[in-house]
Amino acid sequence: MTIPKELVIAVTGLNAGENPQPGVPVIRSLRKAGFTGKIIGLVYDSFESGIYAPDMADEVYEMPYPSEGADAIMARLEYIMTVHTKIDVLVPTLDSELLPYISLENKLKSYGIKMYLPTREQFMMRDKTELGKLNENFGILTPKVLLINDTAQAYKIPEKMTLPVMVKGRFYEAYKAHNTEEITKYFNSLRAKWGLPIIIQEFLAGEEYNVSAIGDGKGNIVCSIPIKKTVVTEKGKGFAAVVIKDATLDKFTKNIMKSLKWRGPLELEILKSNKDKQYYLLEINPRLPAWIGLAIGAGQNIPEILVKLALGEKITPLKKYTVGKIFVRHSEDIILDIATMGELTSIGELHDLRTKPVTKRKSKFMDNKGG
Amino acid sequence: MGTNDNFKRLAMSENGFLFDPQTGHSYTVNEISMEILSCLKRGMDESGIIKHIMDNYDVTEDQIKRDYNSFIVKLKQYSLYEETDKELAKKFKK
Repeated sequence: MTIPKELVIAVTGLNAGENPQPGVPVIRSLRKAGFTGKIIGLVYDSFESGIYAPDMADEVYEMPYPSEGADAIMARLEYIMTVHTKIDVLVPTLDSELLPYISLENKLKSYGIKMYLPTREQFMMRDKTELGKLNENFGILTPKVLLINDTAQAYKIPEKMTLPVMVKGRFYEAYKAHNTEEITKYFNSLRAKWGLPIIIQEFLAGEEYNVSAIGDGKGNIVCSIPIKKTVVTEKGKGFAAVVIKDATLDKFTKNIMKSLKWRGPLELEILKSNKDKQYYLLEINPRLPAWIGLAIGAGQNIPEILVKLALGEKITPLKKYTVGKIFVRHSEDIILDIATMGELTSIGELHDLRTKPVTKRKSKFMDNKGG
Repeated sequence: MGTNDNFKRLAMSENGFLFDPQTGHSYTVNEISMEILSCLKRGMDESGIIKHIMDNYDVTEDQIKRDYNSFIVKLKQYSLYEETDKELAKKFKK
């Protein structure tokens, strides 16, 4: 059954540029599923390119950054709902906003807004600093990890771990370091950006794989697509990938979902070690990935399933998918009047985006300057 | 057949494009390599494959033996094939 068109779905993370976010493919997936109702984009920056892409969101609202806290997010949503539109389902797609939305889940439910998210405990279990505990508690293989809080500890790394090592920020970014000088260099730059602790992770040579899945909160997988990224940017973003099928990888994924009893969407980053041919869990991202459009190509519309689960629909687990489907990311320039972007910057919202595409709008400045 | 017959899982297209659905790796091969791979997948042994290719292509036995061996080396290099001890012993006897 298609999602009823009377519903209003809110989606975050509309950047589709160098650092692509999942919002754009999530909206495309919902449209491909036949959803013709209203979709609103919740954005943090007027340069999130998906705001201006054709046939995306109907309306866009600027949101306070997640660092401003759950109350600020709630106040903005109350404004949107009071002045402009109801929201029936909200799909947060960025790591940094998950915790505030998890804390708001019950309150939003009382406003009629449904989400399908992990619990706070599950969210904390997948924190990069806690990943080693998955090995201790559930026997899920993970690379060895050390947490360091000062440069003196950085100089002692070679006594505890074989070099090279991966130096990782708490939230984003990871660098391979071959000596203590490189470790301290990356320690300082990551500390300035993402704070402490800095994660020192054993370097394992091997092949990386990703899995996007939704868990039902009882240990079962509702849907799941494994891929191998075939083109990766300097920042580690996949710009091409192919859908694969590997029974051992499937078993590894099942064990993680069963152990964590994960509820909601996630992306697993997994490495097959060249040394022992075993699978190691590198990271759990608690949201859909930016490559989720590939899932439709493979026969599973994961964003559509996520929305249906949020609405309380019972979904029969999807087992089949087409192996060998690939995506190749393509970026295009969107041309529009700067005054249109200015409208979003100054009043924090844009309307009628699907009926009046920004590329066809003639936004002028009052004094006719600026072209 | 070998202790590792991973080549059997390769998907082959007519124009020499191969895809490994388990690892996501892809390869391109020439016409003779495609023929060798098809024969291997059908379970033919080295002498059968060499005879089959000599019957169908204008090549000498030396040429096709070289091609066969270099293709097997490539399969091993990509962890797609590993001979059994028995096969190695037979080869060594030759």
